[in-house]
Amino acid sequence: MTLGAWCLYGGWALLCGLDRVAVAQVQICRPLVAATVAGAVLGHAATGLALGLSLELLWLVRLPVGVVLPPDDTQAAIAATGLAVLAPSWGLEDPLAARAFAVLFAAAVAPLGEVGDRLVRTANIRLQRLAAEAVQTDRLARLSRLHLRGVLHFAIASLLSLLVLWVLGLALLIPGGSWLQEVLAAPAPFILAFCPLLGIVAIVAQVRTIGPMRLFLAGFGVMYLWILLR
Amino acid sequence: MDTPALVAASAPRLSLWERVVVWLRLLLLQGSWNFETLQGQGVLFALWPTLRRHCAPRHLRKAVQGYLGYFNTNPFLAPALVGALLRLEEDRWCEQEGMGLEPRQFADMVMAPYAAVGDAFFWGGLRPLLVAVVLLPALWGWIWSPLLFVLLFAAARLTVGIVGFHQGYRLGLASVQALQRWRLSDAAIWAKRGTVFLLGGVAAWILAALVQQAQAAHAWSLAAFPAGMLGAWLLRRRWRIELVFWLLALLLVGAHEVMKGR
Repeated sequence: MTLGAWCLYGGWALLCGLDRVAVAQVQICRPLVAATVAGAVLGHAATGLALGLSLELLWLVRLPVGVVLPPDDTQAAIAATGLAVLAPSWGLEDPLAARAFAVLFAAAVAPLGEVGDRLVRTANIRLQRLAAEAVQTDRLARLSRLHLRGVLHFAIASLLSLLVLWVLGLALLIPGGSWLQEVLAAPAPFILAFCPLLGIVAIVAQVRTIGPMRLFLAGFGVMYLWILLR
Repeated sequence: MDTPALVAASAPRLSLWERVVVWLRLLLLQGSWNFETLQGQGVLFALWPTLRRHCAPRHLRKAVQGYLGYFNTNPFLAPALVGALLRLEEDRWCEQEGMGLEPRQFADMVMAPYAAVGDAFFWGGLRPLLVAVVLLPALWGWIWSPLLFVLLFAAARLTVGIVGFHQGYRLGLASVQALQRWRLSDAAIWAKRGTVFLLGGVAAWILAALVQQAQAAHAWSLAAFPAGMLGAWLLRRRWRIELVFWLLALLLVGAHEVMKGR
């Protein structure tokens, strides 16, 4: 992989980090999208898609509403994709085992992203106070610049978050790659399947509409029948 | 029938370009999101060019101060609210009487209901539905499914944003009633039903693929059911989902190590 590819990877992480809260929110930050594009940039789109699929549903019910901060599944998915792509270099050669490690890693570190989010939003309180001062002193032209500084804070936090996750991931992968290969090779397909299934359980348990279980079983039955008849 | 006071007062007075600038700036509504005023600075950032240009200098500071406080609504319905705010501001600049409601009072009244409706529809309804729609093609290995998700969500987000903003600006206070007619709360319920149905299909596909993938270990696949039940039970007891996932993964690895030892 070239330096250009890694620069693109970093740029994509930055865009996704901004999309989460600060800019536009067209949902390129979802793990399914973020991981697939990160994988494509590194030449492993299929790995990215598989990881995005596994991670997408895990925190889908954690809504970014009001002051609630959901885990940073965006940077976790992007970092996990990069680590899965590089895993063979450190002895984790089985692709499924590498993906299982990446999913377990992302699940463990995504809640750490809440810390970064909290720090940015606390830092932005200072911008709010500076804006109030600017109004008091009639320097109103400063207001837009102060707001844009907030966007910059979110951008810096995204990249720092990615860097921290990479350091943590490499600290696990470099000394433990061969051991992870041994431990994860057999149960990897089950770990990769349990992740989205657990997300589905969480979503169905949370939906408060008429007969969620009936609807779920109907969908399950239709698909299973189709698979059997195929 | 609409009462005369709720009918739009007059034709638009701001130029199309001025309105486009406000709408584009709303894409950065949450740019300086903070724990004290949430989106407070974002609304001011969006309105600033028009306030600076049209507000009488003696009123400008007061108008700016009004928007510097707490503001929180759903980011996708914010254009509808800000469009109406713009109309009320415009009426104030032209010293027209609306319903005696200051723009800031209007914002305080409607931001929470808009947040509730928008969050339920976009976060609770549309986003999970679109994820469920693209998951099946993604499971079949269709690499473009993430792009389809982004296109569908962006189309909905931009349509609601553009139409809402236009409607808000055109109708002013009456835009609240117009928004009610969109029936977003009902749409959210239908979206949730569709999501649950589609996720049933996704679960069936994942289990079938698992059985196929691990042909030598059908018994392992059966472990998915008790594991799912355990997961559901722990989630109901408010365990964090990542902890439940790690616990299940450790049980799997442990069971495999035990079987390998035999």
